[in-house]
Amino acid sequence: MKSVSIKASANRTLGSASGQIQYAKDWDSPMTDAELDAFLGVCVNLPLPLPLS
Amino acid sequence: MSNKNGCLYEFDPFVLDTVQHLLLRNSTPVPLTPKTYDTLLFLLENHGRLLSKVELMQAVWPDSFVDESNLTQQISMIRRALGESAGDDRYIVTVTGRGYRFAASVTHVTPVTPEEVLNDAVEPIPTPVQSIAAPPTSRILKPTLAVLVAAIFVLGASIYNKQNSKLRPPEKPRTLAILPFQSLREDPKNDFLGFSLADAVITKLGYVHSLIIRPSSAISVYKHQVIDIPKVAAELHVDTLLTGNFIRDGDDLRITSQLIDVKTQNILWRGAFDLKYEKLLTLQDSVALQIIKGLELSLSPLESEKLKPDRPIDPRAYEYYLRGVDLYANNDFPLAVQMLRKSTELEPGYAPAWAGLGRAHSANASFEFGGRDGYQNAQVAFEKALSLQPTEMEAQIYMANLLTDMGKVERAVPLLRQALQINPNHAEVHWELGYAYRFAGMLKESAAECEMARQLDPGVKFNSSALNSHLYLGDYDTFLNSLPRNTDAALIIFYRGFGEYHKKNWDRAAKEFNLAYELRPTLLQARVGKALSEVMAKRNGKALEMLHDMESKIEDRGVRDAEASYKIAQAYAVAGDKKSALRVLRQSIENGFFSYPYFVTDPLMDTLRGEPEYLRLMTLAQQRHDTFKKLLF
Repeated sequence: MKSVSIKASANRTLGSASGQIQYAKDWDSPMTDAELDAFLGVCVNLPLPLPLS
Repeated sequence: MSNKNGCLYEFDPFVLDTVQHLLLRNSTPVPLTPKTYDTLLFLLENHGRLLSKVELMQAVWPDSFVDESNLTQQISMIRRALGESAGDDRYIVTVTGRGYRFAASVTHVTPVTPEEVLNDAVEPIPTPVQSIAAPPTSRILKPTLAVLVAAIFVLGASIYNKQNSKLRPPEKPRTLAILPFQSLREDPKNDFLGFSLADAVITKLGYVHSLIIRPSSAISVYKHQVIDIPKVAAELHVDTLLTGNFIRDGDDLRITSQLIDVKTQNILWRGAFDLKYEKLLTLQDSVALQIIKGLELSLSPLESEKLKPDRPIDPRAYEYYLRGVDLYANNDFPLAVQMLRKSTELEPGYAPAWAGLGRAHSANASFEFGGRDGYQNAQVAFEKALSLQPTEMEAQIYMANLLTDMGKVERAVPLLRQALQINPNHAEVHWELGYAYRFAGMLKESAAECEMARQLDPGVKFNSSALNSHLYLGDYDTFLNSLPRNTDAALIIFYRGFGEYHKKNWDRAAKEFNLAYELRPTLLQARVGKALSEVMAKRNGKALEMLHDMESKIEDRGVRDAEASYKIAQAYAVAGDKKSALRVLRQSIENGFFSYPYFVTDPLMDTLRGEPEYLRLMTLAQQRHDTFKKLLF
């Protein structure tokens, strides 16, 4: 399985369906809205752009 | 052209399912038009072979003459769906002037019968017995993980194959409750296993749409109880029950379980598992498999994929996970956080532990004054769960709930819709979708989703949430009728008072408000009700004092419930403090409660209608409501 990678400011490499999670050790704060949108876009085909909340 | 028997074409990381007409990427559906699907299927059926344009066009448009540009367009759409850019020949190679070849490695999965594998690999599963009174079977399964992996996968594939001849799910899906396993002896050290193992099986089966399974929250009350089967089945509104016992002796664990058809009192399956404690993770897979077999459920390939056994993990991590789940059910959220955190430290690749940790953080923030940090930690944990397993249902549901509460409902809805694609009969997902819709002002849609949830599971969110959309639509009687009767849940009693208040039944409203406050004075809604009760008694000063106190407490915690804030604004408006009402109304809208159609008809806000700030706020709410509607409907 390929890993789901998002180029993000926090340099997070998100995990993979095979279970081999790789992520920055400082991933202890939530994603920004932009990162979240990119991530959910991968996960659920989120329609973009979203209104700012 | 299509394979009449149905099959799977696997090419990393995609699977084309010819029964469901679905392309999946890491188990997530990728949208395709019918012609794009046909073109891709023909390419896969002939992978490795150069296909001329004429051959392709004849296959895809057999009864009509089409221009070559149509084929070029279909190839382009396939490439886009596969994430392949021009010049990147990973999947489709263009042979200039001649045609196309599907170049990636493709595995064609042909289902085989479960008997072929089970006969070779696993001891026969105990045959169903016909009556509860029948003596327990002495046969014990000693499955190894590898055998179970193979058996579950092949059984899933076989069930899927069988599905070709009867694609429709049962008209009325089975309703099942998995009760906490009971320890056969006094064993406080291992007591956590009873509930948490049941929860693990429930989670595993949450993907199966032909089975409506009661959530763990509904079954936790049956821990340590003597089970009266007809009574419990009636309480949970189910037609099938799974009960079980366990006993642990050092490293050895014995679990016995039975699946009961409540109406006929027949035992559909009964089995025993002897296993080493370190193999505990395999138990949830084995029991889930036996339930599917016992109920003769049809599974789609996607469901089969979801039911594949989890990969082996550190047994200590799994134990911490189970302990955390049990503590969560006991409302010990701080300790649950600790246990689940330990699990993730030992096994950072185990998605269910991250999902559980997110839930525990979220509950800790909501109920134990964990504050804003708790929500942030919850979001991080859900992100990690979803990054590991994008279709992890618990993570989808509770991350969506968190996103709605954090004012990001536009992001919550797609998550929930994806969960419904996997299991359209999941009551909790429908309920959460209804919750999200009402934040965005899609009131009829919200009511329909919540009604659907209650139809699937009459007990869903029974004492912890209400069908507010009926109230927001002005349908007060339907709202009141939807509330549980004979409950001592303060939230529900408040809502009964709120419904009566809207009907101008002042005495009844005051009685309910006062009772809710008496039962749980710390509950925000109960305090709003009490403030309204004070206004009815002409003690507006007292009401305003309560409301200001609530506002400052919310400020201190840094965690806002935007819908509850709206209720504070309503109470301010009714008590005559327009300035405070408008201030809190702005906070509510800015924090993500923009239920515009409700706002414009809400009788409690009538005193604010002429205020310029009110008009500005309505414009703000309307804009976001309209954008939400355009984007997601």
